[in-house]
Amino acid sequence: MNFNSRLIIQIGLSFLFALGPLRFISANEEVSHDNATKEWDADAPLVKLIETTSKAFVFIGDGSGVVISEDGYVLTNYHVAGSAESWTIRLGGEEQTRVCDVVGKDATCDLCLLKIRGIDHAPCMKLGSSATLESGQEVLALGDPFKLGEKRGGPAASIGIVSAVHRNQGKYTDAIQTDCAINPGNSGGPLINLSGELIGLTGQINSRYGKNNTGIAFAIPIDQIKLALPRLLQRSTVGAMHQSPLQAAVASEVRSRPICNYGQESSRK
Amino acid sequence: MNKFAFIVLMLFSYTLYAGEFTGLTPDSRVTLLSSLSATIVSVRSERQDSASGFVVSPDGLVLTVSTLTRNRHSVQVRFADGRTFAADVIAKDHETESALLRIQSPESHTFSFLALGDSSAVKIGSHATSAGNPLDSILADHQVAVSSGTITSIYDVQSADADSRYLGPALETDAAINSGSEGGALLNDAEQVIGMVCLAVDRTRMRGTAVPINRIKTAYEKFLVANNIDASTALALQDGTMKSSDRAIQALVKIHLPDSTETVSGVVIDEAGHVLTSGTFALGQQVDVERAAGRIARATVLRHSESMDLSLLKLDSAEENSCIPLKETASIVPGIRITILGRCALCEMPTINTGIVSAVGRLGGLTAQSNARLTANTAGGAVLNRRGELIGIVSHTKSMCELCAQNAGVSFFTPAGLIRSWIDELTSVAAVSVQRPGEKR
Repeated sequence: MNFNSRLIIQIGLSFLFALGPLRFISANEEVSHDNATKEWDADAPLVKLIETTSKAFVFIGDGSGVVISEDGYVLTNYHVAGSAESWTIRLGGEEQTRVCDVVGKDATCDLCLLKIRGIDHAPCMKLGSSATLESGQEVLALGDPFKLGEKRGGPAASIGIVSAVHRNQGKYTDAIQTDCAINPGNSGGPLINLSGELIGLTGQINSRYGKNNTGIAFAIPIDQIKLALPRLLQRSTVGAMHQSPLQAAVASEVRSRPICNYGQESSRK
Repeated sequence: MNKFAFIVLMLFSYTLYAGEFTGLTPDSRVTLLSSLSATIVSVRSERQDSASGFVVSPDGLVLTVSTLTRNRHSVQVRFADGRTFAADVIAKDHETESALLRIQSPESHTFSFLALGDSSAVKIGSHATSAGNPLDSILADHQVAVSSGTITSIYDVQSADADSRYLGPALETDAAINSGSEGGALLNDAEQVIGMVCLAVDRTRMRGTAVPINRIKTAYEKFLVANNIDASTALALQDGTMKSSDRAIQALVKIHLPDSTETVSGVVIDEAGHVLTSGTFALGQQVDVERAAGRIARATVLRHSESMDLSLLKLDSAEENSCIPLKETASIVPGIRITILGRCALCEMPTINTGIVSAVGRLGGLTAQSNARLTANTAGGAVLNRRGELIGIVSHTKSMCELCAQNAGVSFFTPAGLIRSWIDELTSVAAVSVQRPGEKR
């Protein structure tokens, strides 16, 4: 990591330069050619989407996570957060760190649910549906590959397509396959449709060369996660039995049937 | 300056096409791709892992790789819907490492099939889709897997390994290609096959490739013609690639690193012949810079910044220099679509990658991150926004490669605004040193 040490001195400077261009752009826009403005506008929806969804992104441990309710429930992979009871985290849109506690975890589903302490109006991501996903559909992945953004700034965004659905690979069952850039550090990060809804958690990659992504990544579909949520919530401490907004939402949306049965089947791999 | 930017934009209109997404509306490619699944098969012989294949005629001719059919007369093909057939190997071609199969089926049976396109018309930078059976997706899950990418380069693969012995012209793409994908189809946006996906990887690039379909058409011409398949091939492959006369392309240079076989890219940024590149050079060092059409020019290293991983060179000769000016005021925020131009050791033509700005303020705050799947020799390459403006120079590929090999989709570039300040600082220092003697007078 020698590049880190030699770059660290530049932090102050870069801020100046990063902000400079941004300030000028609006003035430039006014005089620019119509066609050129149109070109620029084409980027605007994605820029906005990333800006919004990044606020619900969570930097946690060696991976990523996402806030799914206003009262601060966080979803990530079991292999990211399952090994401890509490974690120091940072939200994508904040500088300060926060503390959150593991509420429930499931190694088979590779899921971990946590709750941020003392937060009432957390920026959160709406749960979408993975049932309507089609291969070829564009999707957005947020994550922190190689932990480059751990200390400051937002997550890294990558755009790709749904390569296939209902894939059973490695530990995952019925997973979404995507060609988004997913790498070590992305685990537990959100896979998002272009309406800004959470459709999966990216947690597994497959590669031709070593550990890094060559265009095959797998995400746990949100519909599977919805089925797992009641169980993850039940494992919350006995004292906290009041129904939180998340619990209410889950109760209304999810039927009480066993979850991740196929998950156990997959352990043969 | 604006006029030039417009020219650059026009030149790259087709390259920008790859990044031309329809805002955030549902993707029309979804419907296009859904019809693919009936035309892609997994191909398997008894002992080996499966590869991919694609149907090219209604009576069940299938093109696939020859690696699976070695010493075999019959293989098994399976569709995503579960239909499974035996297929006869009716021809093989070692040059293209391909095989032609005929599915054994009742005469009345008709198959969905893919039209063969014209690989000579393929342009670097155009959009491409890979479709196949990576990691046994058809056998395991009844799924054809697709991936979207760009034709990043066209060159002759010059090194082979155990996965593939193919050597020769190849379409390089950043669409996902993994084991099991070989024999699958690389498609253009008209859903025509422009290449057969293969596992050949040139050691200097480490990127996925496909055998141009025209080579395969030529190999099986009599079979294809006998089956009423259009086997016509247009001109040589190179004719369809980017015109080297393009002025913007001429601003790109290839630089051989001193004491190394590696090359990096560089960009001429003004008519005075200043060149920006990435890589470590000694101040005052003379280097050979390869311009468009193989012309070699001498350049002197003026300045090197280790933290930005950039070097500023100046071409020695006073000839007219094509250039892309730095656009230091352009906005760089996550979500912006970018096109990255570079040069590689193997190719006469530039390489073109597409992606988005993933994050800003990376590597201690200096650099922007993108999801473009770059390789080491793209270092010093030009990062263009949708308007074709030069918004940055590819840097830190060494850190990138240390961290994430060459395909991970984590790459970096130094923003134009930062580079401009750095250059201005240099010129003001030079100006001061010139003025001093005058002050004494």
